[in-house]
Amino acid sequence: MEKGKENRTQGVLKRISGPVVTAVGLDAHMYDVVKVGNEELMGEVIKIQGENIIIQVYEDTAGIRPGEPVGNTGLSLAVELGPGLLTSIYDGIQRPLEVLVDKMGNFIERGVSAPGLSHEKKWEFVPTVKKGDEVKAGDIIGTVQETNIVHKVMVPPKAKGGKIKEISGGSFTVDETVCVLEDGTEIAMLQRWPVRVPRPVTEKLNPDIPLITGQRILDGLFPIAKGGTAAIPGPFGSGKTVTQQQLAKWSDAEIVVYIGCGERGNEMTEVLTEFPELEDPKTGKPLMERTVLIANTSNMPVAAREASVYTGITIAEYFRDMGYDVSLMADSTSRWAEAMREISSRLEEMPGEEGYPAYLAARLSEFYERAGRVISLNGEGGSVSVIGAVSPPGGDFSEPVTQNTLRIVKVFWALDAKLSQRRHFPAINWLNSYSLYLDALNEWYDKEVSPEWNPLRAWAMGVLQKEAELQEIVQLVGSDALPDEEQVTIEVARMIREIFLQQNAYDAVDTFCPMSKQYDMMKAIKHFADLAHTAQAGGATPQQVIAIKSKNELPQIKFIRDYEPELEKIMKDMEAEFDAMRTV
Amino acid sequence: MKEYRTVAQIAGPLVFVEKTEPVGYSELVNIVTADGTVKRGQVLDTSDEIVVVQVFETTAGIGRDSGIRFTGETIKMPVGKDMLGRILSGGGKPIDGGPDIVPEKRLEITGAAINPYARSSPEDFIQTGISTIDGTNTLVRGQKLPIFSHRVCPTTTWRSRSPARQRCPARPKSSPWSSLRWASPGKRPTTSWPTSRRPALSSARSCS
Ligand SMILES: Nc1ncnc2c1ncn2[C@@H]1O[C@H](COP(=O)(O)OP(=O)(O)OP(=O)(O)O)[C@@H](O)[C@H]1O
Ligand SMILES: [Mg+2]
Repeated sequence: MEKGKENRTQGVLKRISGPVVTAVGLDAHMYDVVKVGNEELMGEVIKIQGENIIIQVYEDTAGIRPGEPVGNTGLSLAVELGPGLLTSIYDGIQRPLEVLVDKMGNFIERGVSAPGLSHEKKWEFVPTVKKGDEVKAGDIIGTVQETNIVHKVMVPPKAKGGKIKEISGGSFTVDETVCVLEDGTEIAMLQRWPVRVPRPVTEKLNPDIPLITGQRILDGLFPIAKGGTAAIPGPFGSGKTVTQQQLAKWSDAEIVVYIGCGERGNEMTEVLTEFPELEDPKTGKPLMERTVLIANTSNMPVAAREASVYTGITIAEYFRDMGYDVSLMADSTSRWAEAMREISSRLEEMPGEEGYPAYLAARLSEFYERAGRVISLNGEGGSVSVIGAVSPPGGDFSEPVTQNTLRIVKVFWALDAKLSQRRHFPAINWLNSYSLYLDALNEWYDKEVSPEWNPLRAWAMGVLQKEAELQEIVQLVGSDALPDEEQVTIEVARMIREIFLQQNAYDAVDTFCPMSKQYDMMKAIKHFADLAHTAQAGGATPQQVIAIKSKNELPQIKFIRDYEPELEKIMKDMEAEFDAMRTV
Repeated sequence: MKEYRTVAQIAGPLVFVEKTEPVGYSELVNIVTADGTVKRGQVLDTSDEIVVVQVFETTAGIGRDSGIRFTGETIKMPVGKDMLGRILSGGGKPIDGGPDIVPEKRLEITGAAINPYARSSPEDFIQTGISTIDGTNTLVRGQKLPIFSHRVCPTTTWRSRSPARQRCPARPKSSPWSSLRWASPGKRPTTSWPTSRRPALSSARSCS
């Protein structure tokens, strides 16, 4: 804005093609925010071609004509960061949807702006540094009790820093100065940060702590690390959204950012109605208090969908800088990629594979690269974990969005239509899925769960893989043709699938399974396998082993919160049954 | 209303018009052909050089001599209680020989997005009287519902039958059905129905 006088901040529209418009007679830089047309619709410069400034508009452009004015704000697309983010629901460009309902009713109209944070609300600021202290960019200078979460007020990342001249506690709006430095710099609680630029950190660390999700197949077989990246591709109705929402509910992150990107409005409503009633298993506080929602549903403007993902990850990075573990879900990154494709085709760019722009891979990796476990500028350790749903058309994983995503992320949870049709939930295919964090996380599981855990997991994976091989034989020659030992393997594999892997998201207890319970369940199945093995060595037939009754009681411990006495009893009964077999 | 006779090019459903005054994006366009027929279209791309119009019906009869009228309005439609019981064309005009609709409002046909914050969860069960829907693939008020079909599946009968029969039973406090879905289309079987045998109701899922 403080550019030279000859700067032309007003131009005119020359062309309108859907969400992409061209202006002339305007000086602009890439990603400047502009106001388009008589209604001042918000847009962003995405291409400069000689005199032609090409802009993507975040609102519907119907009725806009060539010749209407375009004004450059000289600012880049940025979000407002400060107290008030938590529990909010925003559109793709951080307009609070709750405020928009007050301003324009139940439907979203255009040309209405609303700041991301309330500029009137007062927050109780408590300084954590004092007059005379030296502070630098990123340092924490005080706190605000935002919800049950403590919001840490930081020196903006690009500030020079210096010695504190004045700082005092009290009630402030986000715009009011809470701290003055010797050189006169005034610091308020509000920061703005351009969404397309990653916030700086001191150092990236190796992710070696798992993000515990309470979902057995994830924590048990294919864990994601805090600061890691994962993708959930799956055909229609296979459980992408349910899995994402389970992660948003139960993962042991301190802050959750949930981006509903081009999916159903009702799914956001579900989150809005459920989350305030659910308790964080760690803190006992309503889940909503740690959550920020971003909604660009399928019928909202497509350019804002492109932006929504950046808005979300910038908010996530801001909380990470305070030292929090943040997890970000994006449902669905395919809709985001389609938004890119639509804009790109309006730009008449050379289409790449399946019409996606050639920079699809670059954009996806830029996004996922913003995940990570870090030491922030102030020395706090925090992380952003990113979990993206992918909706490949026809469930075909060879399409460009899935393929490019898999090249970047380290965890692959492959949803499988066959499993969901059989109502095996979560319908994550245990043979195709993988986690590249396993080695890095072994030590944590060793220390925090049990030294037995890693061998147990390896054993379970081995049984499941063996089952897949045996199934092929069974299909050819029938199960009677299998050696005795392997008939039991098939039974044990069935137990792993039905007891451990299947988990009901809609059951009050089973929806979240603590790591200790996961361990006990797997150990119980292994114990059965061991007893069976010994019995067979002593001459028991597979039929005898499979007929053990007590093992059929095992699935129900999923639905019991204080399951230990019940599990104890089942295991005692099981041992007794095997003992009886031996004495016969 | 100004009429332009400056058609520069016609390609597929697209008509390119030059030397116009500023035309709004998405505006409704009337195209008058030599024999006086009026065809409708919509602006797909507009600039001070050329305007691209997508024609809703065939471009047969449109030529460089056709007259192009830009209406200055995006597509709106008159709506009102009067519409109940009437038969309308795809363009919203009565085709049952009755009088014009007296509009209470004129609404954009593209509609506006519902603010997700203003939505409430759909949870009212709609009874259709078709057992395979009510029993296992319950309909819920406010839900969107695709019916997937093969060429010979009788979907038209189904679609028209279900609104005619549907009823909302007394609203249960919290419906246990709300999480169920009508259709989770997987890979569709490639075989088509034997035409001689009408599929029984219970096989409807394989149509879905
Ligand atoms: N873990 C689970 N436990 C119980 N039911 C589940 C689970 N996961 C999925 N389902 C069932 O599958 C249905 C479809 O799941 P979901 O909406 O998550 O699919 P999706 O992959 O997001 O589909 P779309 O591509 O249409 O968005 C759910 O409504 C639910 O009935
Ligand atoms: Mg979904």
